[in-house]
Parts: sequence; structure tokens; C-alpha cells
Amino acid sequence: MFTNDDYRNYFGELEDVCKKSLEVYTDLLNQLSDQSMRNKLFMLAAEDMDSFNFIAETKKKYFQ
Amino acid sequence: MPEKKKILIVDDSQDMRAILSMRLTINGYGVIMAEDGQEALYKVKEESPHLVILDLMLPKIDGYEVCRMLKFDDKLKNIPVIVLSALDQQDEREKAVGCGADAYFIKPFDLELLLTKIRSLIL
Repeated sequence: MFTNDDYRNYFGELEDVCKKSLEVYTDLLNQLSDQSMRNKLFMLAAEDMDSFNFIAETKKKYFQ
Repeated sequence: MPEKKKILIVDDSQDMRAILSMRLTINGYGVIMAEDGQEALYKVKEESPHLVILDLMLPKIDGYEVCRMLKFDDKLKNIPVIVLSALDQQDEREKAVGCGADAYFIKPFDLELLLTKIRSLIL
């Protein structure tokens, strides 16, 4: 059985993964000029941003 | 939880606003956005951001003028302003510094360097 600390740690890991992913997306988007590639990356980044926000809110609400 | 520091992003490019907004959010900042100089001045007065990231080429009121107006207002002059420019020209840099900008970045810039500068300006 997971303890509260376990949940907090796992959600913390998820948050770190999303943050790293979004750092890579934003670095790429800041440099890329190909518009169709940019559009696709913006869509993917938006999904990760949703994940990041959900994880951060959940962590704050339940495991702070 | 400490209150999030608020940063106003002023850029007429939706892409640039999105990139900066994502990068600032994942680093724990609250984000406000404006897409022209007029909206920027309104948002500064309404939202009291801790820092402004300001593109120089803006519709309605350009970035130089926005920066000048902020720095001439006794209530707002202590808000740090980082200006962004698409042109790497000495006279543009001097003009930006002349209107009171606290830092100057040329697009495309290193986002981590921007974050480092932000941290140094709003401790």
C-alpha cells in the first residue's frame, strides 16, 4: 500500500517529467521556423501543459 | 505556499506569448498577458505584476513608449522591465536602455538565460 509520502513522491516525479518535457518543447519552439512542425509541437506541448497543471494542482490539494 | 510572483508578457505574437507563458508557468510564476502597448499599460495598473517582459515592436503603443511611461510613473517605476527585440542593432539597444529597460534580449534568445535574469531581478 502506498503511503501519503509515496503518492507525493510519485506525483513529484510526474511533475518533474512534465517540466523537463515542456522545457524541451519551449526550447524547440523558440528556434524552429517550420510552421507545420511548430503547429504540431504546440499541440503536443499544450497536452503536456494540461498534464503539468493537473499534477501540480493534485499534488497541492492532496499531498502537500 | 508563498504567493506566486506575477509576470506580464507583452508581445503581439501569439506563439511567443505561448512559449514564454509555458516556460514561466513550469518555473512557478503566475502569468498575465497583453498583445499591444495599450493593453500592457492597463494590465500593469490592474494586476501589479512583479516584472514585465516587453516586446519592442507592438501595435497601438510601441515597447519603447510603454517602457518610458512605466519608468516615469512613480508608482510603477520599480517594476523591472525586460525588453525583447528582433533586431540586433546597437542604436536599438541604446534606445531601450535609454527608456529605462532593466535588461535587453535579442530574439531568438536562450530561455534559461531569460529565467536567470528574471530570478536576479525579482528575488
